[in-house]
Amino acid sequence: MGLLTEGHPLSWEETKKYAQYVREHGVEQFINTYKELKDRRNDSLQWGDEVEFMIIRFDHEKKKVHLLLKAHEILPILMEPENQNPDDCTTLWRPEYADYMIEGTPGKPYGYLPVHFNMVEANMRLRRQQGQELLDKDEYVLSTSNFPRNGCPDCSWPTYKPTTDTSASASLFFPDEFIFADHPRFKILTRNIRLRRNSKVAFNIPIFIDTNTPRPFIEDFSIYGDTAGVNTTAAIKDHIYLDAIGLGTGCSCLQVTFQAQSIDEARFLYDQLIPLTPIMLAMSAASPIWRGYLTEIDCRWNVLCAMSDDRTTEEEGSEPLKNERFRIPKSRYSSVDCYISPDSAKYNDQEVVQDMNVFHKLIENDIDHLLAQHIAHLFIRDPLILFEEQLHLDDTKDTDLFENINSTNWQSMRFKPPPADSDIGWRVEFRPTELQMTDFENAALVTFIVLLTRAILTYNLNLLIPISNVDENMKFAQQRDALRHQKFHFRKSLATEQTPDAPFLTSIQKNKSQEPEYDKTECEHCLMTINEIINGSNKFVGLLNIIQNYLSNIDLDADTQDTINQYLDLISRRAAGTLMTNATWMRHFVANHPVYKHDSVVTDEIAYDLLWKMTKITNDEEECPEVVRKKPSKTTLDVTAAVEQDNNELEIKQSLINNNQ
Amino acid sequence: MSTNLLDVDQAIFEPLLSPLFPKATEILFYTGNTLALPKLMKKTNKSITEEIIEYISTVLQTMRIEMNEKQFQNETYVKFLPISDETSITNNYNGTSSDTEQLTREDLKFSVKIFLRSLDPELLSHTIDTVLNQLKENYLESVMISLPNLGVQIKLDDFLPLWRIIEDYIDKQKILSAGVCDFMLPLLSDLYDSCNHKPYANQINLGVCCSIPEELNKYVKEHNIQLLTHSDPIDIINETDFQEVIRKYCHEYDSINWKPLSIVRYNSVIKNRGIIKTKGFFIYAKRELRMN
Repeated sequence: MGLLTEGHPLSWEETKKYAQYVREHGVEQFINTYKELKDRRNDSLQWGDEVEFMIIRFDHEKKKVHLLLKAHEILPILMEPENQNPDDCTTLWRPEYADYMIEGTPGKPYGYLPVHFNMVEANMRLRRQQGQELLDKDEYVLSTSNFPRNGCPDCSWPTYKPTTDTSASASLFFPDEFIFADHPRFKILTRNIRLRRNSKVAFNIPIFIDTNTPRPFIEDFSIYGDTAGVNTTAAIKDHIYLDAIGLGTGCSCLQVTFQAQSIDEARFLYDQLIPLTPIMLAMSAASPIWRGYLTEIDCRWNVLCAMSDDRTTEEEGSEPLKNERFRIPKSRYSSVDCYISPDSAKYNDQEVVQDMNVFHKLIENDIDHLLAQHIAHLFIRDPLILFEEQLHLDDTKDTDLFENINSTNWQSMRFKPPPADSDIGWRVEFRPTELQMTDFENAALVTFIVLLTRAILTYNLNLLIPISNVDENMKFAQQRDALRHQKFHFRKSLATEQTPDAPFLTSIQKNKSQEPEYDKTECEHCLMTINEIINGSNKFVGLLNIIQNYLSNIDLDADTQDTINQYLDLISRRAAGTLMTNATWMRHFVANHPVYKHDSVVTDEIAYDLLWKMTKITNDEEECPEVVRKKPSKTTLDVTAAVEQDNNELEIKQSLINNNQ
Repeated sequence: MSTNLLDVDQAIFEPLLSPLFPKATEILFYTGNTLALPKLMKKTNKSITEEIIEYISTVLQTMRIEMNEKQFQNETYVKFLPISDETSITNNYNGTSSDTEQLTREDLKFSVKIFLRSLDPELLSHTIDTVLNQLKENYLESVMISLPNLGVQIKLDDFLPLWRIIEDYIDKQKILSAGVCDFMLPLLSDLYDSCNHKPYANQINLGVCCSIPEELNKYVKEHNIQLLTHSDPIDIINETDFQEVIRKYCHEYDSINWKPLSIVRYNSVIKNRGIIKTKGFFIYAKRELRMN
């Protein structure tokens, strides 16, 4: 959702003029935050998920499904409880890029009690219900990564035709009316990205070649209007051409943010989760269909990278550097470029483009090299949107300008310093996961990540591999059916030296580094399938086994145990390939549809049937045993009274004892 | 024992000519903090029985390898304890993890599960005292009592003396909350009605009773008892297995007559972050010796 500042936005020219100003003050704000809060300790575990729902409308007579441009109508109603009573909501709502998107989060973060894992699904379901209540007949809330026929003619309700000469995006496919208009941010972003790079965004997705797909595949753009020819110079054969920011930012994500106990722990967890970003991307793959065609990709990530890319040709490298400051290899929406903990330095094996003025400023202020590098890298970017009110702030108190840059670097992980004036600590955001069609799956993925962080911290694990290998994995992860067919670089042994002493156990386990033949240059990582990574093999422990070990030491109540077991079972089976990803299931659905001509085209009717089926699955009216196998869930919104009582009792007793001592 | 444990995989032992602890009538194994990566990361989950037998094996093998075989000749209560550095970890909460952690006792929650193989109340006291002493803690947040028979077979009158011991420790603020394991109705409700300090939880094995009986569910919700889960076997370790592991590495006379009486599994968790800090076991056994 990003920073939803109120106020008066500046024009692009003015925004550009203030770029250096924003950077300087942003860095100043970060330095102040760092100095003030770097010693903050013992923040408890708090975490939350973000779900970007889509609203759609079915026309059962015409067998068509539309993106419903109604977010602007229902969001004010959804946000009313927060306006009335901001500290006491079960859910919170925000707008997102498109007028067919509504973003929901839990009202209060989940906490550290095991029973909190049993609340996630119930809260997600509640959010869905709250949205659904405000819709009319044939209108539904859906959770999926990408609307398959987004950008096709008449894919919205009401319908609009893109107007390439006057729109903010100049897209052939994505009308301006799709953009959420009640907050200026999204249109301004659209316009400014295009103005900065001085061209439309463009991306080409390889089409899935089926038995009847025309070879070569060259799309006929004439249906999109007279100016179509001029606009499609960036299209290439055998590919699906996308030309609008909204075709990327109008996709939905599943994100998890959690609070660490200190800045060091936040940096540690940020790093440890980086190798997991491609793994979770592959596990959650849910976007095989783009602009009505089956493609060779199963994920939205690279599309978003390209559609949010504000780099000029000089920065990209297709023209020599004259006016720009840096050659920049990646879009501002991309996988992370470096680890940020001091111990991780040796794994940063790629050059990181940095603003050296920023870097030196941070070093002068006693910020260490790795963190300084990270910030200096984020700050190579220009602000994309600026409000007048942000220009005259108190750098010792406000963080808006820092957030301006931090929140418009859309990376696979985000390191989030405490906001001004709050009791919130250092946080980490995990961002790559694709949104699944059921609350059960989304809760399972989110729970898995959080449990993994607890296990990593308990056992002092190290998952790091060179960042270049992580980037390679990100490429592998997005390919068609990557989960079952690809291998990924993954660390072979997750043990570290910093585990608590346990003499009897180190004796049982041969300590390899003491053997004379131990080769220090032996590679720490190797290629593994998702199945091996998650479920283990005779050579690798498997992430699920680590989590199970952790859970066996925690007091779990019966309901939470049952819920977590079901979630981990889903993860296990999906990794093993016995359950399908959403993407694979969608491909099967299309392939087996009576109307499908095996020409890679997902027609209106096929899309209608697919989304109707998904809607029924989501609402528990139909099963989808190929993807999800579960019993009725024990998830609940309430933390049971017994647990609260237990904790209260302990607090009282502990303070009693402390008073006596 | 005061030494690092060695790599013992390949050791082969000569038969002993005389017993190592001929006078011992009590024996204690205390693992110290077992949270260790290398073993964990190589093998899939072991059962608690396997873990314990493996630990005892290693301790005895190490003793043999180091030939500290004289040290227990005159002992009546043989204690195999971890090296002294080890116990300091449980007290030095900063431990070996990052220097930025500044934990206090309040940040931690100690949970202890005591598997009793006898209904002798004194055994329970001895066990609790041993745990408190070795962990060097003044109090434990949660203690769960488990008996080898399923709760359905024990009678309230047999169990109450044990619960009275627990209540005593609660009164002295050495235990903050206590619970039971595998109790069904009516035993659970009978206990609840007869005692002063109510059990805060009942731990059941979902593998054994696949779904929770409806009336049990109702009862615990009405009486604010947490229904927790475990996957421990009914009997953690029996006489035969315990004696056999000793016999394997010691003299035959060292192994006779031992009866494991109490096994304890403990852990400490950083309460508000869900991170396990320490974990370990105690195994206590007794025997009678026939004097030659």
